[in-house]
Order: sequence, then structure tokens, then C-alpha cells
Amino acid sequence: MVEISRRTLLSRTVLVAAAAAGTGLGVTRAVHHKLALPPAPPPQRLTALLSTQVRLLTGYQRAVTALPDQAALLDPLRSDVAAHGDALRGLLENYPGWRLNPTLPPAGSSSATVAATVAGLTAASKAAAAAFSAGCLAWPVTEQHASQIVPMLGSISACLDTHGKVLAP
Amino acid sequence: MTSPSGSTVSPNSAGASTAITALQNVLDAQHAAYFAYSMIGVRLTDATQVSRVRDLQAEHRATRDDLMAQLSSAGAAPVAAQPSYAPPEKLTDAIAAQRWALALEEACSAGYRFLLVAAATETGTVAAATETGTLRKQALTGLSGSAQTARYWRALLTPATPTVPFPGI
Repeated sequence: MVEISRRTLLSRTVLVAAAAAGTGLGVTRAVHHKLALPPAPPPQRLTALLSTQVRLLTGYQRAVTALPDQAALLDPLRSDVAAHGDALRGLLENYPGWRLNPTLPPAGSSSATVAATVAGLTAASKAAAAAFSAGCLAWPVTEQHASQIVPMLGSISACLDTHGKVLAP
Repeated sequence: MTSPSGSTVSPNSAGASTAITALQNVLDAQHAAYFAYSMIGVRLTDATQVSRVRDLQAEHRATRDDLMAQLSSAGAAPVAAQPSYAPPEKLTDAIAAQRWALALEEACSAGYRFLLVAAATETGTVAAATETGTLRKQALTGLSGSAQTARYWRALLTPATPTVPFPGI
């Protein structure tokens, strides 16, 4: 039989009592859970412009496949449009909720297709340039990140204008 | 105050000093372009290009005059032209002249893009917000125009890649 000292017995009793008291407090005390709010979504006009870019890029990808003899003309323009997508995604990173937005198009997909012809790409480039121009001019002065977004939309619009001239000189 | 270009810039409005600095930058680029195109034209041999240079010089002169009037009406002293502008390389042939023309138009694009930044960040009074919209239109129109002209020169120098994804950067 193991003998324990009175001091050991007392300390173990205190330990057990403290554990019981702590458990009791933990069970009965109200616990306030912090709700995880989703981050704010990005401005719809910015995601709409990304959709425009995705549609145009898809058009280029289809056209390069369908018109291999036009690859020298279309490839540099396609690279520009791909760079526009990277820039727009960079702008969207300012809004942490943009990845949660279900309205965003998945990369490489498109709801409305651009005709895989030079004429189709010309029309789509002009329409996209107009959309980016309108976005640049209408972006609210007081909206966050305007100093980044307005000049970027302007640059993309100017680039797509030049594409229109390259495709239909 | 309204300028011949239609834009209004009040020296008292919030952000006006940034806008005026940006307009001065654009004016500086226009001074350089107006000066340089007379030297560029001498080195070109193609009649179409020479004719284009004459038209471009007239356009830059008109833009320069409008900007000077715009700045004066805003109460700012327009930046003066330098006595001369040196080409980036010795003007020995048409290629060097085309390269200088491209550099000039890219400088104009950069100036207009900075004007877009200034217009995007102007906040404050309602009047300032109204001016911002007009300034943005002026900047975007200028950026698109100089990007198109840059594309013309780039197409002569590097036909495979006549465009850049982000004019003004």
C-alpha cells in the first residue's frame, strides 16, 4: 500500500477542486462567438469588365486555332488582352471578397462568344474599348482605389482602340 | 473657368494643384513633340510619312495652344518651351527619326495617363467632382490619340508587335 503525505493529499485535493470549479465556470458561462462576416464584394462594374476581357480573350484563343495563317497578327494582340486580365485581377485583389463572388466568370469560360474571325474580333475589341472607356469615365471619384483603377481602365481602353486599328486598318 | 478644350480647372478646388501639375506635364510633352516633328520630317523619305508628320505637328500645336489657354484661365503660368529638344540618338536616318517620333508619342501618353491619375483622385466640392469628369475625358481622349499615333510609328519599327498592353506606362 502506497502511503502519501498529508501535504500531497492537500495539494491534490486543491487541484481537483480547482479543476472542478474551472469546468463549472466553463459550462455555465456565456460564450460569445465572433461571427465571421464575408468580405465586401468588389464593384460590379469591375467584375463586368473582367467578364468582357475573358470573353475577348476566349475569342482570340478560338480565332488563333481557327485561323492559323493569321497567328502572326493575332498572337501579339492576344498577349495584350491576356495582360489586361492579369491587371484586372490585380485590381480586384484590392477587394478581398472578389474570389467569393459567384457572378465572376471562371477563367477560360464565356457565356457569350466572340466570332472567331478577324471581323468578329474587331467588333468585340471596339465594344470592349467602349466598355472600358465608359468604366474609366464613370468611376466614382470617392470610391476606394480610384487612383489605381481609373488610369488602368483608361490604358486598357486606349490599347483596345489600337487593336481595332490593327485588325481593321 | 472654361478652356478652349472644354475642361475647367479651378485653382481653389481640391486636388487642382495635382491636375495643374499633370496638365503642365502634358504641355511639356506637347512642346517637345511640336519642336521635334519639324526635325523628324526632314529625315523621313516616305511621302506618306512626311505628310503624316505635317498633320501631327499641326495637331500638337493646336493641343499645345489649348493647354496653354486652359492653364492660363486656371490661373497657372503655362510651362515654357525649352530652347531646343535633343533626340535620344543622332538623327542620321529615317529609322532614328521614327524612333524619336515613337518616344515623343509615348511621352504624351505618359502625360495623359498621369492626368487620368490626377482626375481620378480629385475629391472635395461638388464643383471639383464635375471638373474631374471633364478632365478625365480630356485625359482619356489624349491617351487614346497618342496611343494610336505611337502604334503608327511602332508598326513601322517593329511590325510584329505594333501595340503595347498599357499605353502611358
